Parts: sequence; structure tokens; C-alpha cells
Amino acid sequence: MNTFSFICIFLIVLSGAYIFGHRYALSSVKNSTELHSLPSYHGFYVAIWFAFPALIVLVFWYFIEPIIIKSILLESIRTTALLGSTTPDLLLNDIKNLATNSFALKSASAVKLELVNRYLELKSLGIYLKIVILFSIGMLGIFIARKKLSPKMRARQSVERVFTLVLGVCSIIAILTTIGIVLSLLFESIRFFNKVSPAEFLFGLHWSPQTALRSDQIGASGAFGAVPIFAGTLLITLIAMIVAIPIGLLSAIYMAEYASPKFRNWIKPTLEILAGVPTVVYGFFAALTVAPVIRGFGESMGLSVASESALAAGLVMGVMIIPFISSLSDDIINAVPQSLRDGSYAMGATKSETIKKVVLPAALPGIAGSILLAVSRAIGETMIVVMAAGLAAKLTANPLEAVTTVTVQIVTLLVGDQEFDSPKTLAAFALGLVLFVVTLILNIVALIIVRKYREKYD
Amino acid sequence: MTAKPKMSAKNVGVSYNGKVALSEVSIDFLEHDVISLIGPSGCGKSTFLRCLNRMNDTIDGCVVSGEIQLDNYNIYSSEIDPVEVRARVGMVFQKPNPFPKSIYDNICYGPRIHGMANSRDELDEIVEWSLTSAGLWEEVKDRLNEPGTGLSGGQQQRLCIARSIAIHPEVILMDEPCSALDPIATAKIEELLGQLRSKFTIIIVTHSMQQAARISNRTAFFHLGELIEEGKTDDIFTVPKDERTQSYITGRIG
Amino acid sequence: MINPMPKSIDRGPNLSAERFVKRYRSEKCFKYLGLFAIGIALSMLIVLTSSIIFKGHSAFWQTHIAIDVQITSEDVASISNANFRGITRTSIRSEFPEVKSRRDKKQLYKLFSNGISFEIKEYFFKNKIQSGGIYRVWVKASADIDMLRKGFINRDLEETNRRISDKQLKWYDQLDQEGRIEKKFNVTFFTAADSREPEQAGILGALVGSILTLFITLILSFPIGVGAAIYLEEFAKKNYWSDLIEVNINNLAAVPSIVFGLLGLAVLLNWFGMPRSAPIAGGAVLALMTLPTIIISSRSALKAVPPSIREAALGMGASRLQTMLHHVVPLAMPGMLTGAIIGMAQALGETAPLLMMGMVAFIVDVPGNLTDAATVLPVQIFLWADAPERAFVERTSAAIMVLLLFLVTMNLVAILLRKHFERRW
Repeated sequence: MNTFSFICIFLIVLSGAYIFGHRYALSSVKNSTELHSLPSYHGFYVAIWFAFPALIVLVFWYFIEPIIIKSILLESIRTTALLGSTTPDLLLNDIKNLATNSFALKSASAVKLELVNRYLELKSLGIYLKIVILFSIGMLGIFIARKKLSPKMRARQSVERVFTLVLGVCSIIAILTTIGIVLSLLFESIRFFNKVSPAEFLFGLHWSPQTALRSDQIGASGAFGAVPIFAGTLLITLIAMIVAIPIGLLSAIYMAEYASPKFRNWIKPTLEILAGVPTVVYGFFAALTVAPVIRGFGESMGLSVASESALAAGLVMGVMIIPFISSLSDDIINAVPQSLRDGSYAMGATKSETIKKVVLPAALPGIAGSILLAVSRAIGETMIVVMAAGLAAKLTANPLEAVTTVTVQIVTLLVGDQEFDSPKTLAAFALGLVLFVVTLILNIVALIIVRKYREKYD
Repeated sequence: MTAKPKMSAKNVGVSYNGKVALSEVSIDFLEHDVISLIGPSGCGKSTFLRCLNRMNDTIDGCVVSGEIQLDNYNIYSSEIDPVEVRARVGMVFQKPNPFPKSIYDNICYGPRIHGMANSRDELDEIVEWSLTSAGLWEEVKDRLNEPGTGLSGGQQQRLCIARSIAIHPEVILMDEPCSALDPIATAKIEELLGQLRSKFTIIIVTHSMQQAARISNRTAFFHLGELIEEGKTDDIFTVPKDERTQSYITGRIG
Repeated sequence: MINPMPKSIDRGPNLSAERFVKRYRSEKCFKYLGLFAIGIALSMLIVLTSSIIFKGHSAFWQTHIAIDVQITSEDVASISNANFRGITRTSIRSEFPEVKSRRDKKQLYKLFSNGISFEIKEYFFKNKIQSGGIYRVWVKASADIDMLRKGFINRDLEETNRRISDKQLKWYDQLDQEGRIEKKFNVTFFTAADSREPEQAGILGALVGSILTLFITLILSFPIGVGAAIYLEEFAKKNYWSDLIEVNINNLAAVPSIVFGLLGLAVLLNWFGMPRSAPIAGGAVLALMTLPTIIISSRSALKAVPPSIREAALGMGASRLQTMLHHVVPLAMPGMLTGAIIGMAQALGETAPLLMMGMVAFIVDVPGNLTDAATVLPVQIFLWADAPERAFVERTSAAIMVLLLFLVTMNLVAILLRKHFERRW
């Protein structure tokens, strides 16, 4: 029985439970106004007693079943001769992969075939057991609920309490996500730092993440000094900011102070389109249009330009970030109270003098906050740099050379088949941790600055 | 012999998006006078005040008709730049609005944009003179670099006055400058106004008749967008010519 | 009395004409600088879109060549058993009887796509041909010929620098003169999945993968997001915990997408054991990413419903939950839907986290259900962008055009929805 039909049957029984509760409630009284709660709540009550215990058991089963299957299979493996050449975990993985790969099964050894059969048997046994247990518990739930049903029962309260709890759980998922991110990054990073010292990672100048496949392989030394990567990220971010800040800020000033309301209503969303274009499109544009133009331009001036120059990636990233600065700054400049402008006009200042000397200094904290948010976005950007920046971890300040960034390295280290344990893959998590912490700090600082600024004026 | 008025308005009318707020106002302001504009709220006195330095230009949909003369020229003629008008006719607002800069920079703002000082020393002198004239120097002379927004309400308003006089306007407009202040601060500013009139012409909008009686030598009464009566303060309050003025003064309307 | 101003500074404002000219020049400069900046930003947008359209429009046309296929009645009778490869090659060779050597024959076959035997078989199958004979069938040309037809290959180059040999050029010209080369609408682009050969590659697999993935994202993130928004707006007390949750949500909205990819890799794939490369795993990661956006937009939709509605309902004896579900949420629903559509549009364009989740393999089949290996449109674009063949450049651009079309449509729907249901309370 596959998942889809299982869900269908579950839903059918669920509706049956609801209808049962509903009918039962109505039939137990002469007049429906004698019931405390509406019949539908009685129906929901029974349905909840069916579904919730069953679902809780299902969740437990989901976690426990793999463990049980694993220990049973390990028992069988111990009796075979295969264990010598490889670890139990790997063997288990092997068996699982073979079970789904009918092509490779034909050429597998007899011992393995037997294990695979055992595994499949256990799995289907598990499925049957699961269904039986779930429905029995569900039926038990319905039985208990029926016992509790009565005209005076406060069905609505109970149902609403459960529902509110469910809503509360929904809101906790956000915290769970953050905890998940922090824990997964920390765990893997700690495993990484057990193999490579944090000092080498944070301060080392040489990045060349090789790991040996066998311990005696040549070229087994890997250098994990991440400074060139950080430098590359900073270089590209700097170029992006040099593009985005002037254009974004000046656009915001024009939109907020000089533009007619009609013009502003058109221009602001149009600029925001720049932020809505998928970054993979920007990457393609950077790699195929911008980089060759820069290369041609540079070479006609006698400079040597790499085909994946930091300049190309930085320019395009800057274009993507313009709306972050222009929209936020526009809001912030509009929030500066009109009384300040009036005070300045009343002294005989022109509009540009008022903007330059009164409005902008007043809006500066908010604008600084928006710039920080934009920097955080630029640091975390992946696709543009993956497609347009290089893989070589070079420590340089020359925008015409190819550099690599934190996000590019995370992608390169993880895309493809690797074991989950090698320092190479773990290094990606360490880089991810650094990225997460840095962007978190930038976001928090930006938030504090903007909040302080709002307090001043509201 | 009647002195030539410093500013005079002839048939000034204002409408916002077609709705008439002020009609046919004609009045003369003599030099070194302190003139109060009084009347119930919504009668148009603030609107009229803002015409005198062309601040109504900053409001969309506002149309001003008529003529306003400053010395010899009509400030609403197309050859005259509002920026120039505002450099000569200063304004202090109802709610103190010091810039979020230091006290020093607040005062210097006007002189800087109008090129009034050639050196830092001259700026210092201007700052000291302005703050002294506004009665604030003793209180802030040791903290000129602190933000202007850190002062109390009354001090902020005196700072705004100091800021206005630093550029030597000839006329100072004040739009209910004390309505946001406590009585002690109000008294200080009224005392200041008494001293300022020796140098400037002051036109002040006030909702307090008592204040008008205290500080001004001439008074104009506005009602429903019209100038009803204008004359010496004593006359207006003791022997008003129009019965509407009478009703306002005795508190029957307002 | 006020002390008179010291003579040294008693100057008054400098209202000279020349100073005014200077001030107004700088005013004009400043204003036009702002307009210039807006112009640069807009022109970047225009350059981006026009370069994509310029590169991609030619992909919607595919060069086809007409072959006169000679087929016997026995083969027609049992199509599934007939050797179409042989039939195809024979038919091609009969057009060019002078081609003898093995190398020349190979070059001749290379004029055509390497899948044409299937195309011809399809033709006979679909049209239910009953009798043998000679039939003219239009088949796809090879990618190189396609590029030649579209003008991307320079005939004047040396033969060794070209992908097309002189002999092939001669045969091409001959076919062209006979009117047997034509560009037809590239249906394959929309009906085929990925392929190594550009002329056989299409975006159907990626499209279906995107749809399946977005489906999972929607059914996971919308209910949970709306539920969380209702709880936070209505039921959560204003204490330390609710503040923490709120800061959390705002932060999550700004976390780089690749970190979510790492989360998905470590937790969903490794710990939970979800199938790698499947829409269900990709959809789950995207759901986590979209959740903060939906929560934030749903909350502001709920906030916009005036308290008077809540008070009216409560005053009639409705419980808080009933008030929310029967009155407030329906009124806020348009705003919530708008936020959901915008969230889905953002998720549609996401690439980085899905790369981590393994949706980057070369998938030739259109995914059939939620657990098959699949890819999504942005990842397909990413993969094609790396492909060396020139023909893939135009296809990548065309795929981008399709993606942008979807995004524009979704955003327009969201905007129309917002405008239609905008109420002035």
C-alpha cells in the first residue's frame, strides 16, 4: 500500500469519526439547543481523539523504525563474512542503495542479495505493522471519545484548546528552524575543528582543500586557511557597494524629495524589479555578457583581465542590490519630519541645501542601517558569484583578477558525491557558520540602528 | 505723517485645492512694531502668516492671490525668488524644531548658507551674539557642541529664535511660539520679544488674547478667513469697532 | 535692549545675484544627479532584459531538414520491430549517392540530430501509415547546423577553426537550394526533458520539477505560516517569548539562502533521511525559507483588519478562535494570499539551497511523483549555463525567458489581487 492510498484511507476514517461524533451528539438529545456546544464541535472532538494519538505514534515510529531495522540487520550481518572489509554503516548504506537499484542487483553477490531481501522483508513488515497499529490506536481513540461524549460536555472548549495549541506549535517552528540551523552548523563545524585547528582556518593564508581518499595517497595535505576566501568575499562586496550605494542613495533622494507622486509610484516598484530577478539570471548575465565586455575593454587598454574577474561579479551584484538601498532609504528619508525641512526653508535655504545639510544628516542612521542590510545580502549571495567568480582562492586586491568567495566554496565543496565525514565537506559547514554569524551580526546591528532612529522621530 | 510700512498686504487671498481659506486681507505692518494676529482657531491667521514669507509655496494645491510688499517690491512677483524673501523674513514655528545638530551648528546654519562669515572666528562671534540676544548664552555657552535636541522645550524655542536672528532678518514671523511651552518658558520668551522689537519687526500669531495684550502694540483680529479689524492693541481690547471683535474678546465666540 | 551686532560681522545675508547663481547651479546639479542615478538603474534593467531576449529568442525556432524516407510495406506493418536506424541512414545516403567513404558518411549523418531515427519512427506511428513508399519527413538538424542556419557560425573561417567541415557546408547548401531546410517552432523545448544534445533538450522536466517542488512548499509553508501569524497576532501574550519569536522570524527572513541549504543537507537529508534530489526534500527546504515571509505578510494582513470587527464578534459571544476563523481571517485572506504568491515567486527563483539538496544531477526523465529525482528550472538554467555547446547559450536564455514570464505573471496576479481586494476601512 503506498503513501497516497494510506493518506486517503486515513482521511476517510477521519471524516467518519467526525460524522459519528456529530450524529451521536444530535441523536442524544431531543432538542439541539440542549447541547453545550455545536454538534460540529462534538464531531471535531471525536476526530481529534482519532487522529492525534495515531499521529503521535506515527512520529515515534518514524524515528524508531530505522533504528530497529538497523539492529536487526546488524545481527544478520554479524553472521556473514562481509564485515571484515568495511564498516557496518557503509554496508548498511550499500544494502539500502542496492534495494532500490534493480540494475545493480543483478550483479550483486549472493550474500548481499540475501541481506537485501531481508531488508525488504523487514520494511514491508514494518509498513503492515504501522498501519495496523495506527488504526487500532485510532479506533481506541474513537472509543474513548465516545465514552466521554455527553450533551453537557464542553466540546468546543476542548477542541479550541487543541486548535490553539496547534497554532502555537506553528509559531514555534520558526524558533526550531533557527535552532536547527545553529545546531547543525555547530555540530559539523566542531567536527571540522577537531581535524583542522580554528587558528589555521581563521588566519591561514593558504586554501587548498584536498583530502586523501586513502591515507597513503600523495597530495594528501590539505590547507584550510580561509583568509583568501574572506578577502575575496570582501573584495566583491566592496565593488558591489561602490556601485549600489551612490546609485541607490541618489535615486532614493530624487524619489523622496523631487519626484512627483505619480513618478514615484511608477519608479519605486520598477526599481524593485531588480531585486526580484532570480540571481541565477544575474549570474548568467554576468558570466556571458558583462565579463567578456570587461575583458575586451581591459585588454584594449593593455591590462590583463581574468575571464572571471571580481569586477564582473561585483558590478552585477551591485546592480542587484540597488533596490535594497533605494527603497529603504526612500522610506527613511520620507520619515524625516517635515518640521525640519520647514525650519530650513524658513531660513532661506534652497531645496538641495536643505537635503544635503538637514535631511540627509537626520536620516543618516537609518541609511546606515539599510547599507548594512545590503552588505549582509551581498555577502550571502551565491549564484552570481558561483557563475561569474572563480574558484581560485587568491589573496589579492586587484578587481581584474579572479577571486573566490565563501558561498562559492560552500557550493563547490558540497555539490557532488562525497562522504559526509571528510574535512572537505565539514569545511563547508565551518564556512557556513562564519557566514551565518557575520550576517546575523550585521542584521542585528542594522536593526538596532534603525530602531534607535525611529524612536527619535516617532 | 504716516511712516512707510515695512510690509503691507493688499487683497491677499488663499485657497487650498479650491477651498477658500482666506479672502481679501489688506493690512500694513510698520517697522519695529509688534503686531499680534488673533482669532478663533481655523480663522486663517496662520495661513496668512505663512503668506508673508512664501512658506505656502511648499504646500501642494495652495494658491495665493493678491500682493504683499516688502519695502518696495511685491514678494509674489515672478522675478522674486522665495529663497531671498525667506532670508529677509524669518520664521519661528509653533513646535520648536531645532536641527539634529549641535547648538553651534544650529546657529551657524543660516550664516553658512548665506555666506555671512569669512572665518571661524566670525562664526563664533555670530553664535555668541545670537545666543546672547535670545537670552540663551549663559545657559549653553559651555555646551555648544551638544545636540540642540537635548535642550528643554523653552530652551529649544529660544534656540530657534537665535537661529532666525543670526541671519539678520528684517521681519520675524512667529506662529504661536509659546503654545507648546510651560508658563515660565513662555514668560521668558515674551520678555525676549520685548527686547527684540528694537531691532526687528515682529508679527506674531497667538491664540491667547492676554498674550496679545501683553506684548504687542498693534493687533489684528481674524475670523472665518477675513480680517475683521486692526488697530492699536488698547483700542481693539477696550473699544472694538466691530461686534464680532467684541464677541471674541468677551468670549462669546472662540 | 539687544546689544547691536559687532560691526565686524554686521553684514546681513549675501543675497547677491552671483551667489544665487552658484547656489542654483548646485541645486540643478544635485537634482539631475538623482535623475541620472535612476536612469542608470533603469538602463541596467533594460540591458539585462534585452540581452536575455536577444540571446534567447532564436531558441524558439529549430532548424529542420526534410528527408525522403524509403520504407517498405513489411516495415510499415510491424513498426515496433523495424530497424529505423538503418532505414534512416539509407534514406539519407540515397540523397547523396556520391558519399562513399566511411568518414564522409559519418560527417553526412552528423548534419542531423542523432535522435532522428526515433523521430521518424514516431512519424510513422502517429500518422498510422499503412503502405510502404517514399514519405517526406521533417527531422531536426544537428545543433551545429542549427547554429549555422541562425548565423552563429562564421563560414569565412578556416575549416580547422570551424565546427562544420567544407564538405558539410556543400551538402548543406545543396539541401538548402532544394528548399529542404526550414526553421520550425521548437516544440521539443517545451515537451522534452534535459538531454546532452542541445536540439533534443527541453525544459519540461525542470518545469514539472518546479511545479512539484512549489506544491510541497505551498502546502507546507502556507498553513504553518498562517497558523503562526494567527497565534502571534491574537493569542500570544506580549512577553519575552513572543518578542524572541518575533526577532527570530525577522532574522530568518534575512539569513542567506545557502545556509538553509546547509540546514536541509544536515537535517533533512542526513538526519531524517529524505530522498535526495526529490521535490519533497527541496520543497521542504524552500518551505522553511518562505515561512518567515509568509508569517510577516500574514501578520500585517491580520493587523490591517480593524479592531471594531473583532469587538463586534466578541460582543456577540463568539470565542476568540471563532472570531479569528469566522471573521478576521476571511477578511485578511486576500492579503495573506498576496503574500503567499509573492513568497512562491521568490521560491521559484531559488537555486542555491536546492544545489545543496542534490537537485543538480542530470535528469533525463520527467519526474512522476514527489519522490522521484528531479530538477527545477533555475537549476536547469545553471546547468545549461555551464554547457560548452553554443546551442545551449540560446536555450539557457530561452529558459530564463520562460522563468521570468512565470515570475512576472505571478507578481501581476498578486498585485491585481491586492488591488481588487483593497478595502478602505
